[in-house]
Amino acid sequence: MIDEGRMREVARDLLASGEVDCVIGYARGSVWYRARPVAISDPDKVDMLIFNPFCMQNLATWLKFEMKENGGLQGKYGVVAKGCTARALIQMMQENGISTDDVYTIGVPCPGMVDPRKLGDDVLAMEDARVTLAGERVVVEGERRKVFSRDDVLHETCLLCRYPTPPLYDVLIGEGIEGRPAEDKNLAHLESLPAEERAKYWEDAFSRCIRCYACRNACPLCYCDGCALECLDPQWVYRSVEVSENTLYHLIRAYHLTGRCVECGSCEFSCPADVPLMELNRKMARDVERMFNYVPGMDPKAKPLLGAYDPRDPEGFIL
Amino acid sequence: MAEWWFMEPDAFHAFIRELGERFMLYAPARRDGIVTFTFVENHEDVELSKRPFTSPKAAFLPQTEVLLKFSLRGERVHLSPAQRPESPIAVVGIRPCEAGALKLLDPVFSSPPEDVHYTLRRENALLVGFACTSPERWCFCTSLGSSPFDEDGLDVLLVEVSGGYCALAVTERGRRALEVVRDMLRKADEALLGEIEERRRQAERAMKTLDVERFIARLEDMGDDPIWEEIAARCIGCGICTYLCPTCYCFDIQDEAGLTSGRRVRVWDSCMYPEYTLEASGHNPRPKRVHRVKNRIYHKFRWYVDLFGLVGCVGCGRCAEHCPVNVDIKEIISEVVRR
Amino acid sequence: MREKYEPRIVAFLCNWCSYAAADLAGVSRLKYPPNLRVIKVMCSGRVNPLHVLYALSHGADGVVVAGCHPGDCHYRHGNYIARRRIALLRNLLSFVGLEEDRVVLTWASAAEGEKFAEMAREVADRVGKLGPLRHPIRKVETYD
Repeated sequence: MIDEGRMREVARDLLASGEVDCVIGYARGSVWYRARPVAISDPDKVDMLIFNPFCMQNLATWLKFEMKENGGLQGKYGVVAKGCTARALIQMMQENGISTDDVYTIGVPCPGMVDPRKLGDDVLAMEDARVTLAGERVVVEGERRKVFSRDDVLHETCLLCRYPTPPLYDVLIGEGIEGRPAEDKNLAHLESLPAEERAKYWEDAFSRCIRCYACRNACPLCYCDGCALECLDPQWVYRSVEVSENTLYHLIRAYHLTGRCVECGSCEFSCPADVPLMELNRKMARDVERMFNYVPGMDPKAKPLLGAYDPRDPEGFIL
Repeated sequence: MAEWWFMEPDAFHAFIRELGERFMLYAPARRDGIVTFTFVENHEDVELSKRPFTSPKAAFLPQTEVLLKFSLRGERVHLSPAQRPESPIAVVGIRPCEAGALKLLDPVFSSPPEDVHYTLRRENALLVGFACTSPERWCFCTSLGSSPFDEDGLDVLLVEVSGGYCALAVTERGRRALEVVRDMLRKADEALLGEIEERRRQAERAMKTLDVERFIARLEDMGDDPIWEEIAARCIGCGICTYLCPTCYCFDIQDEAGLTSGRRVRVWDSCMYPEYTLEASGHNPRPKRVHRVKNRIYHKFRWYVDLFGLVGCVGCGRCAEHCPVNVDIKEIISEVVRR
Repeated sequence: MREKYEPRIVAFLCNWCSYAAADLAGVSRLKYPPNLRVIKVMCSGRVNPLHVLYALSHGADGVVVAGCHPGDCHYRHGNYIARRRIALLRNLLSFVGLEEDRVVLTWASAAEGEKFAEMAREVADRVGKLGPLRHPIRKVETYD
């Protein structure tokens, strides 16, 4: 696991020296299986910072709130960045959403995050517990001790992760980890279904959506000013919660992340209705890579996929 | 019949089936692995074991409700208002706190101008409650004048006991509902009454009490406290807390229309969205998350008290349970009281 | 007698080539089915996938996006951008079980009136064979 002491030391130095104005990191949650984002400006408060298997949120997201509420970033931010967080930052740089000077990336190689729901109600009922990742095992130690296989309790997006270590960072806490993605069986299965069954699958999924927009808001890359959803004239998507509007919403969301999604899983993690949002995102990410040999969030100087072209792009589908 | 009756699982199913004959059943059901409150066609789909992630308020205040349809024919505009909801609804598996929540929605929709869609549904409804024998860690209803076995506001209270359920007819309407399966019920004996009492005690013991009264008093001079900035700093401004809340009732009315026809719909709105307070001029009186987070808390614990003399929270804890960034109302209450 | 199904197809035509091609087809009195509802846009690269999704949701059974041939774009590369966009949009639609052939990208120069008419026939036939759009994205009730 990550050396939290070292991470705090780095954060303290950054704040004390004035290198950054604020460090965005994770703090303990109100219960043992939750962690929460925290913004620290006082070097004496860095001891709040933690890194445990529940640090699921992508902290790059918090830069967008700063930008939206203050009309731009106020100073320089240190961001505790897992592989996916760093990739979101890089993608934002690529799109000129932020500049390389705006952030100091405190890279943390990420062994993957535990999905509390997969631990089971009896484990979650424990008053307090400590969870550690050790190789293939996830150990929960509380009133009782329980050992899980990593494959059974990590978020699916983490099991499929190819970039656990930030591609770029200003400092890396500890040693980098190589990605060892599992086979994406769900996607392969969905792709193998007949079209009507896929339509039914998504109809069921989108019917559950309550349109709370947690998926959009938790996403580091949904940072547009003037989101299409807020446009009233024309009103592209009505507020009515019914399957057609929900489907329209989710396809717009998925498309807007095509060639941009860094597969952090924040959307799916935030969804209270268990809509398998990452299956859409992953489908598009795989297609993008196959068709255009492009992976978002790797190179701040690359051209954004849909803002660029290659004369040799696939065109077999053109009538 | 203000006494406890025992029903075996068969009797319970018969009861639900009978309710389904006379009411539109609204109950927890599993949909692709997730339990949600919904209108159920088949009584066998009702699943009480897990508390749904949604609250039952949508039975009375649907998230989307068509108010009227309109069309332009020649020079004339034709309006067809939605029909009044006459069919009675039976909400099965509603928790005591949620029944309490409906009592908080009532003054909002029944004070003039009365919202007949809401009040009609409410007046005709039968509430079959389900006592919480194992409260969630997020629950704190006992701090708000209710309890896991509270029968107030219900017509029938069900308690899960070994070998089946015990039912208590709280109101005359509830008595009549149970009457239909009278043959399958037997009076709960001493042992069962003892078990109910034991379960009640256990459930209540499992819950920590928070000093809500002091919290409310402290809010008076906490408006500018840095605590709100600290909480809002992590808020992502989504609608989970308000949409899942059994007492949040804000809505928007929108027209969905083409050039010559369309409909007017009422849809839930959330004070956590920036658009909620956005004015036509472009000015937004609550431009930041801190204003909105604070408003949510203050509305429930102060403004609602000022308006109706009641606290606008029932302690179900859904807002905390499902918050992706762990904004935890219990923690906020303890923290404010502590400061 | 049942009325023959007439597909509704929204066609986004670029100002510089495809719209002129449609114009030429018209003045040349070429016959093609009247199923296309034309919306003139300045460039195929201006068509936001949102427009396509919205059209499908609100009553279109098919959508055509037509632009200048590669290399001929009035804005140099708008059509190349459209090509990437529509390719990916079709994949997304297919993944959620919506027949991707309902969304067509094509090129037609201002001189290709005959090609445009042929395309219109082909699309009307293709979408006609697929039948009315049945997919969760389609609104139950649409408003005129």
